[in-house]
Amino acid sequence: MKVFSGPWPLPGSRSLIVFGSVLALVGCGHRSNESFTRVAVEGVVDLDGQPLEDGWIRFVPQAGTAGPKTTLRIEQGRFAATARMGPPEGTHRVEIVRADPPEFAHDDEAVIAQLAAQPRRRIKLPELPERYNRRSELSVTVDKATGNPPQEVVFSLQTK
Amino acid sequence: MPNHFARTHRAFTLVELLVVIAIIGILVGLLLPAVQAAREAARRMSCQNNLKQTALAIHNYESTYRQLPTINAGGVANSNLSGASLFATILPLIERASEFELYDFDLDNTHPQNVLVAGQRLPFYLCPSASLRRQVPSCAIDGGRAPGTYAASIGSLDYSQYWAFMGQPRPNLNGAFVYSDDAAGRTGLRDVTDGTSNTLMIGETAYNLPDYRFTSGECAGQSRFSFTYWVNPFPGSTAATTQHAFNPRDIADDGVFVAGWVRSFRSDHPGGVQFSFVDGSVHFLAETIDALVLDALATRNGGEVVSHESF
Repeated sequence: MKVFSGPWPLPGSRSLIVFGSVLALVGCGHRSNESFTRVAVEGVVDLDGQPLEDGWIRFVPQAGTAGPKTTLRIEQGRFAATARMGPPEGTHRVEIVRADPPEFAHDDEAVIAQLAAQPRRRIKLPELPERYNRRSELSVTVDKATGNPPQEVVFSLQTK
Repeated sequence: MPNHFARTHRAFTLVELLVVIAIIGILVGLLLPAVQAAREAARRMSCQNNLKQTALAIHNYESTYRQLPTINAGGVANSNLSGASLFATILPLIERASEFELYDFDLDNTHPQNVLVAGQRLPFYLCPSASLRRQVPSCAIDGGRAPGTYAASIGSLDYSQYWAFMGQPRPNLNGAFVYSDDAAGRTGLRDVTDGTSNTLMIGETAYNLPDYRFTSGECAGQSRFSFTYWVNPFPGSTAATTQHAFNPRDIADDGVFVAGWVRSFRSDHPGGVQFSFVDGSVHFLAETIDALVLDALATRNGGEVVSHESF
């Protein structure tokens, strides 16, 4: 059996090294599996001229806009999202809801039991008209070009 | 002759050895992450199996009663949210008849007698991928109830538990399951007019919301992570909707938290959430799914056309 003992570089091991480096580099490229681009947004929500103190703004992608819904918090009339958390590029229906007051939290089991014990009792939660949420007529188009710096969106709502 | 002797006893050169070591290193490097991914793949399959078993139990329920269970069952008069969940209703069909016998559906789910059952961790209601980031139960508000990581779909609209006290009309949920006070009363397979293979039934939730905090009691301010107890019919506990978000990622202490996330389907799997559909099939839905497609899948009677390539 002939054992190859020629000088460096060995033809066989060079190709092995190249092959090995290619193997090592496979999988290093990061592939984003998102078929859409999120955009940084910020904006203002006014109710009857006053900043909406506490609520949520929801971006619901419309036909032709890829990607999931995005819900952001409105505090003191302002909302903001970075490009990581923001809505996908495209046209969205915008739904704005007021946050429930702390005494009627969304997860408070004790309150509902207390209310149930006095079935005649009526409560009032601050709500926005349905034309701003369930039957929203608000819409916005976010696009990457104006997303940096974030585009400022203004929504002026009226209770009447 | 001596020359030939020397040649036959020549060993590997240093370079050859290094090349062999490098190749072994590369192969091990390829293998190790793959082994970790295999563990997650195995946990995911076990999680899928739980969804399948639950779906089969619901189908058995349907065969017996000719209708689907409601999200809530029993409970104290006038309070339909302190009773038992759908997951408690199907206990006898998932081979836990003794727990079902022990559970009193006329009492609250936090009643000491019911906590004997509600406090049990049932392995088929816990996804192995879902990491419980706090001890459950640990606070008084937990009520001694054991965690769960699955929720039934109430559709693309949320349920307001205060509707009756606000003088609103009855809710009209559009998912596979409804609350017993819904306008529809309850649902059956005949009501799933979008097709049972196009409608979500059971999905996942996870203890993965660090900015979701206890708001009252001795644990106020601490991270609650999730509201899911398998026995609790409350919205956000064993009922979830696609209205707010899908698989939200909550970054701890970044000040960004949306209450609707608690009522959204979410998981600890990378990149999406698993669902059992009404036909009993289990699918993984990527978190990048288009919102309109997801809402179409969530509704039982929306009349949307959903192609199977879109999810």
